[in-house]
Amino acid sequence: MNKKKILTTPAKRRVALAAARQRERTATKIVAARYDADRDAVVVDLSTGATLGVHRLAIPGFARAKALADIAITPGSEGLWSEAADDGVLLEQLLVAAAGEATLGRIGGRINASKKSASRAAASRANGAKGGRPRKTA
Amino acid sequence: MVLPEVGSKRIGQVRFRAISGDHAGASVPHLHADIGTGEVVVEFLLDGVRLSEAHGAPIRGAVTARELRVVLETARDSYDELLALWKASQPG
Repeated sequence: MNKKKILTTPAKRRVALAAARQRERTATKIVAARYDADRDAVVVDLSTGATLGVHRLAIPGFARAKALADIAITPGSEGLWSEAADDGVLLEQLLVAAAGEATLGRIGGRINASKKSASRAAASRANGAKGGRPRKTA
Repeated sequence: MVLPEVGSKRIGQVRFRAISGDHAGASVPHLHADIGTGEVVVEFLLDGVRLSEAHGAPIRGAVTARELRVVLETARDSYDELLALWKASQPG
């Protein structure tokens, strides 16, 4: 028998746990969820104060479900699960369904581009200390 | 009527869930594992299991080092069963 291994080393696990603890301080979470039968939509309240409604048919895991009265927030508070559907949805899927992948991609790209990483900032300071960008001679 | 357990499976302290339309790392078999008050995304490769590298945040909620070890050990020990769960959740 081919014995399977755990490929994530203890050192990588420690790094991942530390990153997760850091992320928990700022990550957007689902604080409440319900199924709105009149709109046939899943409605979630987020930790940002926003409320998001997504039509059931736009959610792959729930599109075939006959009833969604039992939706519950998953541990970690970044997804929903329905025992009746035996399927779920992630918060990121709800956001994509609500805003559209292209729009979210553009916004994400713009936000990331506007952030200066610690290493870029350090390089800029070092270059500045040397006198900055060389003057154009031509 | 009892629905077939195609989307989730509880093994010991861990509940493994397959989520339809979860595109992040869709080419790599993976499951979301609930333990305690947190969630861990686990990938199933040919030679073993690992914390997901396709999901930007493979650990969500409060997960302790012991819980993470339990998830990975359970995934490794029930590899075939869990890989079958993921395969059953795939379209087509």
